Amino acid sequence: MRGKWRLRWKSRRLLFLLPGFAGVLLFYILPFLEVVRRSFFKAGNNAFVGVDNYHSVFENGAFAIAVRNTALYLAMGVPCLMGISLFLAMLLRHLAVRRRFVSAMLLPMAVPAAVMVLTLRILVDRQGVLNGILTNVSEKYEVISGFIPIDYMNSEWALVVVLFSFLWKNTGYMVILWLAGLSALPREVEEAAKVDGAGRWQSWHYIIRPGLSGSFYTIGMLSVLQIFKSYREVWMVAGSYPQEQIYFLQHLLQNWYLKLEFDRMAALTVILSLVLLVVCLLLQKRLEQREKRAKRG
Amino acid sequence: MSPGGTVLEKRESIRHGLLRAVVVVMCAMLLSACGSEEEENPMGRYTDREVKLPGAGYEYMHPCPDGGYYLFGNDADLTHVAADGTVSRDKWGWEDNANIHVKFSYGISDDGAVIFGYTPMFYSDEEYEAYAAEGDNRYLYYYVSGEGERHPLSLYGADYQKATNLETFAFAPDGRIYAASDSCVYRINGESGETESLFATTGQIREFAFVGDTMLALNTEQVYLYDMAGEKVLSDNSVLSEFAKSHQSGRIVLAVADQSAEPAKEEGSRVLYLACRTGLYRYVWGGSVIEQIADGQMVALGDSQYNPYALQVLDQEQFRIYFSGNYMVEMYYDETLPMEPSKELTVYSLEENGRIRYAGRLFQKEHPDVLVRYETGMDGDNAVSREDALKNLNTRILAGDVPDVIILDDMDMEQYADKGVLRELDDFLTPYMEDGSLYQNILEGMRTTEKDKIYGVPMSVELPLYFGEQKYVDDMQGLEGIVAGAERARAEHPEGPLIDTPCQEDLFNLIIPVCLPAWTREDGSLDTASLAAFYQGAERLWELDSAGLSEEKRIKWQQDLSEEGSDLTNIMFGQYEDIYHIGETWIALGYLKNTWYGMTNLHTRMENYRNGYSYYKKLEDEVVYGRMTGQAGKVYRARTIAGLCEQAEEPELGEEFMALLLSDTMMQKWWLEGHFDGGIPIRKDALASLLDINNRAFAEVKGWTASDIDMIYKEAFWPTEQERQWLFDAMEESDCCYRTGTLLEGTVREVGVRVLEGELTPEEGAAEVERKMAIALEE
Amino acid sequence: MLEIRKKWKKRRGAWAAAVICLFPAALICAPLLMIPGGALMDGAEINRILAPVLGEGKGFAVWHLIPLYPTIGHFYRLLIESPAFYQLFWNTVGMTAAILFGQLAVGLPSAWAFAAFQFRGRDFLFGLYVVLMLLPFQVMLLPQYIILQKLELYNHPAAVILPAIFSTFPVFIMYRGFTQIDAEIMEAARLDGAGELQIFLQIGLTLGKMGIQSAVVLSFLENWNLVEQPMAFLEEQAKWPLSLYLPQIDIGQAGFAFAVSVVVLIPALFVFALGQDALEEGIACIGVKQ
Repeated sequence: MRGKWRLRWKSRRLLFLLPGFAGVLLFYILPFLEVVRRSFFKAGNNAFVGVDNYHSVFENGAFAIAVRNTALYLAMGVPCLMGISLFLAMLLRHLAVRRRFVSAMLLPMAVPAAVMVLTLRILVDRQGVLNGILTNVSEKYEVISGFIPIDYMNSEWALVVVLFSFLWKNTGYMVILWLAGLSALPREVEEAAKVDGAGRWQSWHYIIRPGLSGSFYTIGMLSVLQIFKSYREVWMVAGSYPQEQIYFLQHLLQNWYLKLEFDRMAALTVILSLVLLVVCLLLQKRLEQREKRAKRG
Repeated sequence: MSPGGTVLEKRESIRHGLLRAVVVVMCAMLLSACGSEEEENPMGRYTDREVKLPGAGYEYMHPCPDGGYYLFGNDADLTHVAADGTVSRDKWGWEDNANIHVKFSYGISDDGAVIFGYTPMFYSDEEYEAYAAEGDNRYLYYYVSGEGERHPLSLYGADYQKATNLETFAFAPDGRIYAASDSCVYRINGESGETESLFATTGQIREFAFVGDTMLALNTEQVYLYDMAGEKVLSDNSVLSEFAKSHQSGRIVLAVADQSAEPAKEEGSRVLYLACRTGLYRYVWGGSVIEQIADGQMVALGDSQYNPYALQVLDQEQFRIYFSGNYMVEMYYDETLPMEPSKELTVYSLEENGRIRYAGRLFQKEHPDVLVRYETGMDGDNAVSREDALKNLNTRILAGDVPDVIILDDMDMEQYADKGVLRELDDFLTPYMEDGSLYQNILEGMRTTEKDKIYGVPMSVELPLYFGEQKYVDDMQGLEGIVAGAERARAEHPEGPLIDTPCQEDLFNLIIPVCLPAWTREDGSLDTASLAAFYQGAERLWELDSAGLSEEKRIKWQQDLSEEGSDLTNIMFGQYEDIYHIGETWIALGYLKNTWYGMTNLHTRMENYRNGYSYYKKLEDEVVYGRMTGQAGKVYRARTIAGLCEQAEEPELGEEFMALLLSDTMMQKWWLEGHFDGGIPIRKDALASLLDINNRAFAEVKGWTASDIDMIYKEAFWPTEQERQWLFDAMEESDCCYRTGTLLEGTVREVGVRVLEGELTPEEGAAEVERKMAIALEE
Repeated sequence: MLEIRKKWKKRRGAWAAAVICLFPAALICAPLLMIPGGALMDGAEINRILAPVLGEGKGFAVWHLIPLYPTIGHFYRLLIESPAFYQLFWNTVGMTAAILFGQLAVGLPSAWAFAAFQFRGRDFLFGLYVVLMLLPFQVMLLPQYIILQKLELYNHPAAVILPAIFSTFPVFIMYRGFTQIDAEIMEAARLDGAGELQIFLQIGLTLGKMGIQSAVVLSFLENWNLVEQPMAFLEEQAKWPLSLYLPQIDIGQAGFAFAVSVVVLIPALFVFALGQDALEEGIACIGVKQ
């Protein structure tokens, strides 16, 4: 009797997930399975080719370049973004006017990509505002005399520009998420610790950081997401074949698509998703363990 | 955490969930399948035929209740066409014409009274100041009564300001004139000019209609109703306003049926017709629905190139629609046509192509059972880039939803051919090759490098051309020849531009096509040496050109041109616009785009540019011309390259459409209709007949002076026998095809700008291109 | 006296934080000041100052924050002369609203299920959700197009709205908000005989509100400027959102583009200013009523 009741009760719980899952299945999982299927077929004539597409991805020279650049961008972009935004969130969290600050910092997100790209070009073009200012300064004060205008997007600076514009656009976004995470920390514990004479560093180390471990995971993932999304802007500034350092995986994906090579693109997608899935699951596992430990402790 | 029951229970519940999800998906799929079920196709629908208009230059049509109509325009006489087809013209050769610069905004009454707005012409500064004192951007108005009495109309009224420009006029059936500014509707007395404001509107009213005593004023937001007898604004008709709001692209025109019938008819029996891009609609006055009686896609209304300007209701539910671009059709109901066309022909091009649009209309007329869908990847000013458009096209192709015909201009034809999207056309072209009706050398030039097959056929080509005074352009062969000519000209003329290149892009537009084919070696690799030589030549030309032109002047020049919005590389065989655009240069380089006027009207320079007088000479004097060559051989630029899709749903229709594109009718008709940018048809007989003087009436060449927009007229010279032969020969010997849309070209341009700016040396530029292309080749 | 000093000491930290934060905030907003300035510049001025960047001018671009000869010409062209603008504007509003409501209706319970219940395969499924969130749109473009074609949704606003509603992105963010709720509170509520729905509405919505709030704000930002999906799935321009109305940038269009983005930014400001409070109160209200 009781078992039956429990069963009904359990399946009712899943009703929470079901409507959403049905949609995800239809609009995301099925399409993804189609991608997986197509990664084993040739694009033109739909002949089954096994893992040939995967081979051709790994043997591709552009793939190596794209992987290297994307990894570098991720390795630089994610920690920078998380660090800066966490620092700002920590400063802001007790301020009464924090919402004004956050809104101001979020504004770049609301600017249409086309205009953001135009602004960027005006600033960092070889004849742009930045070079203009630097030239003026070098002429007047002889600090950096003989300054030669830099063509930022066509030199080693390209990645730096991309990185800066990424940070500029996304800092507010991450601050809002850190604030959400911080607000969930029980304030009493922290205050009690303060009364007990715990310093800022100690309270960060023992109270705040462990409490934020979930947020670290979420915000890390979202930083990766935002890095992937920043592609369109990079593309709008620098085109399909940019300076070599800012040639990312998505350039490769897009260029293959434009060349109708969906087979290789699908294979690359599958590889990419497998890597991401493994990373996600590992991180989740670690997070869970840490949370359990925190609870026990 | 709560203990979650036994494993079995968990599995059960997940299975439950999955089952439900699958059911939901299946239902959705099932529903979608139901929707697409075939239905029986009943017969009968509206179709249209073009009405031949009694002349060119009309811009306005006024339908009369008796079935006749008036036509009028800036460059045309007031013309009346009676219901039986009799044409009568009122010559506008009167003296006031001299004071009128441009006419627009016309209103015509049923008995031929006319009111229009114009901008005036000034012959002295005093005249201008007198005018400008009351607002320097205002229109003046003119009135001609039905009896032919004419006078300038100075409008006045208590709440009318002179600076207010009226743009829409209409005569009510009782003869009173209504007009609209961008914020108000007025009533005007045509004899005295007295003007009273009736009601305010948001936005410009574009269309008036009269239903009994009610006036309808229509803009894109709503329909205003005005009781003319009671002189008051009536409450909004929500049915019509809703319609206006939901049909905002293009114009909506209205006409009332049976206007000439009994004026005292009951409200409920008055029928209003509305025409717009999406079709023709019928609305019973006072009712709550507007029903569609003809689908825009199947009649001329759906053509996005034309906007309906006037609608006339004829007897027996027939209609006349007058369009922008002086084009008129009659719509009639044809019972023999299936209601829904049973087949569909899809034609795709990246950008709007007038010729394909036109061919689509011809094809539609020949095949009433086929719906011709012409789709363009990118149009207008919006965020869709070429890559985005191509991405969308590729999505369709990969999903198996291919168009039947693709216009390959600005697309990478080789790539689509290699991927098996395009059908090989050698068999299709065999009859053309055998009867020799097309320039075979041009078809051969279209062969792809990889498979050595033809996948696309151009409708026309443009030939690279130079002209100028003999001492500069004499025997100008190859890129070095061009540079040498420029050196000679610069030595004699240290000031002013040499070649017509206001910006670096324009220089590349001129010289890339004749050089591009030379940069790729047989094995497909990049020939950096020849690319570096190209950059060297380009750099020198740019230096020479810049030497005589100050920075400010160049920017001013660019601005003038960006306002004109023209492509500089188009030489139209002396087509009139060139007087302005080619202007001021000593060596003209460009692409022969038309056979419209004779070659003798090629103009090389304009003296007294600032004074606004144009000077140009006949080619016979000391000006010579010849085929421009660069690093590559005898290049031609292919235009409107049509290809068929391998997996097309209607391959026969696609072939028929292709045959239409290559037919004599299409090749000649498009040009003869007055389209100046056609290129030179690749059909021999069509070209010969286009160049035949006897086929055409005398025309004059129009042009504008540069400093002002004063119009000048000069006589046209038809091509001589020698010139005609030159063109035939030039066509015969063209064998190297330049196609737009390749990655190499884009990269060369991008890097080239940096070379011209002195940032990179030519050799570095070539190396940079090679480096950029390396990734592309790796992919 | 001592008390004031104490207060000051307490406040000092806050003041210092505010001052430090002003710098990054100002840095972030500074480039945005170009936008209103550019929107009010006439074509000739933009041409002159941007010629080095977009055209052929020598020297360097300079930027006037305050236009020399301000004009409202671009706004006039946009707001008065382009009726299409309003239609696209309302398209954007409608689309964004539908997506946000849909995401709340569908995503909230999903996120709750992931956070509050243990079920077999949960971790894997959640990992899958995250991966699906991370995949670039361009790889899903083709298969989504096929599905939408099959459902006959292509060129229908739903082709953009439905996939966005089921996006796993809001689920991911709201999930984080929910996991921060103490499991003991829920257990206690269950023992008190509260139904699952009740727990979700009363405890979940109230305590997870920060997560919900950030999900809504971030979703809004994303969907307000949606570009790729409508471009791929909506053929007719009349159905497009405003983000596609922006012309491709060339020198002749720069001023106009700036004007469009000012108009696009205003509702965003409005949402930041009012939306956050309203949302917070709304969620609090639901919690109390139950």
